Amino acid sequence: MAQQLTVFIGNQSGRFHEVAKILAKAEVDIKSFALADTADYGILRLIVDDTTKGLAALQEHNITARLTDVLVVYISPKVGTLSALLDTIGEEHNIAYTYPYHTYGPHAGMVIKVDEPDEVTKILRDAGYEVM
Amino acid sequence: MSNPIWNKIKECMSADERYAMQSARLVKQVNRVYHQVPFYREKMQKAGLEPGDIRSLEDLSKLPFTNKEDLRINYPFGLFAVPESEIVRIHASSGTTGKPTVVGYTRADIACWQECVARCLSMAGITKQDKVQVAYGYGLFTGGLGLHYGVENLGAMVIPISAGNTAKQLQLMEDLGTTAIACTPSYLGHLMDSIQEAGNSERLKLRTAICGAEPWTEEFRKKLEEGLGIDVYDIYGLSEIMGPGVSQDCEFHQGSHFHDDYFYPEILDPETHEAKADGEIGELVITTLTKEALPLLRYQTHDLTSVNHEPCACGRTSARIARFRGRSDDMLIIRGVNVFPSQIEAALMGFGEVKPHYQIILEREGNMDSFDILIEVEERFFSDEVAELEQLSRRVSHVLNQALGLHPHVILVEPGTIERSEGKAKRVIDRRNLFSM
Repeated sequence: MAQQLTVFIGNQSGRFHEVAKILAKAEVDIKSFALADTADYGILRLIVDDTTKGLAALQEHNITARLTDVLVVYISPKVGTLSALLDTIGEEHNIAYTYPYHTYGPHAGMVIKVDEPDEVTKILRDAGYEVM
Repeated sequence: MSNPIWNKIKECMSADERYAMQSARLVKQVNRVYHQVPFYREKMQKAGLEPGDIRSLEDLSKLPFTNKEDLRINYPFGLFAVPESEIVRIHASSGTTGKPTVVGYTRADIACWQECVARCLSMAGITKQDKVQVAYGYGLFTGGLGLHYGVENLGAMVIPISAGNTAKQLQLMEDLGTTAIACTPSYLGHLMDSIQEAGNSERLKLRTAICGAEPWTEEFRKKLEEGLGIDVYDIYGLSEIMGPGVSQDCEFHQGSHFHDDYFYPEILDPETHEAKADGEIGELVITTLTKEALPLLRYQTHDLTSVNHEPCACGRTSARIARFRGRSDDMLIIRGVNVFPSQIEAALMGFGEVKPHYQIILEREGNMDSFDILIEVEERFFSDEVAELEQLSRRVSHVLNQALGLHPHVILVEPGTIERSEGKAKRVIDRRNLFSM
């Protein structure tokens, strides 16, 4: 199962930049990210090559961050694959949020947060999907 | 043309007459509470005092103090000096720790209140020709009914619309030809904005407003006068003593005329309790001289002000208190509700053993208090889902609303955002400048 680095971003200018700088300095490679924004704050969700190192670097700078279990599932970049993936997951499994992993190349995929990651991983693998 | 004086005999007494009346009333009051209220008897006995030791106003300083805590401990009727059958009305104050403060009135107390409010209305130039819209809340709050009975006593027409519903307020104001309104200053500010927006000021006959029940500034009073083209007066009162009408300013706006034939004001050093000279700032301490149901001796209001005993240009000779300069304790008044920081602290204890780092920020936005609370999102409160963080905001809002009766705007911030001096965060930032003179 993949782990997402989740970071709280206060509504002050430069905070997003600050997080990017800290990760760069720690030589953490960002594979993918998405920012959920509200009026007062944002939640930055990142898939990185070394979550432990990323988390430690951020915490050292007193930035609120945590690791979250998510699924990274690979899909081929073709028409209809997203729809097919959602069909497989089924409506009984609520997707809290999702964002693209890579949208090109052999490792195009989706990051998906669900309540029952183990169960959904099994469903996807049984259906022939490659899950990180 | 100066405004009428409702009770010239009482309001314009000579200093000697006033002193004699206050002394006689104090002696009688002390005698009564000593014999009727165990609380006072014990307090006086502890201080080695007998009723006979109080022979004039000169002896007032010998008497023990009372405060809100005494009312709370003796909730609901423990400090009453008459049988419950003599009580004709109850009011209660809002937004205090735990239980409300209950106050009671006998028929004579209500008569006194009506007299005081009628004096205030006269001071504001209101006569029986006027139509007075009472836009204070009616109910346990003293504002609505206090003004209501005063207007009736004066003989003017009372429009008991109560608080809120601005559209209806403006409609009745226009249709009935309201000439005076009684409400909180912030609400009058809100009405002013609405009137300016509606552009119907030409069709209104409003010429006077009596505002109180929350701290405000002289600047804001003038802004209301200019914005509405009316006279605005500052009425003061507190439910423990009576309610609105304890004092008010006259058309000269040179201090608030204290109805000191009923309520004797002392200005004392908050620390040493030494009396302050006229013009010096100290804590306002009030003794009710005639109150029957709930007499209070030397009640500590924690309001900081000064007193002026010089006769006023209006002809009144009562003591005048200056606009409040602040509080001698840390009580905040937010949207008219009394709030102690300790209540906020206690409410946030519901978040487990370690409460979140928080900071309250109070500002005046337009004419209303904004009440923001910053919460530092530490790891244990942090979630990767917006819905859960919103849940955290709602929880904070809910516990504070339960405790204070106020809805704060919760703002989640990063750890370390709240400034700390010597490691300790300042919990309340009040930027309202309510006490600037």
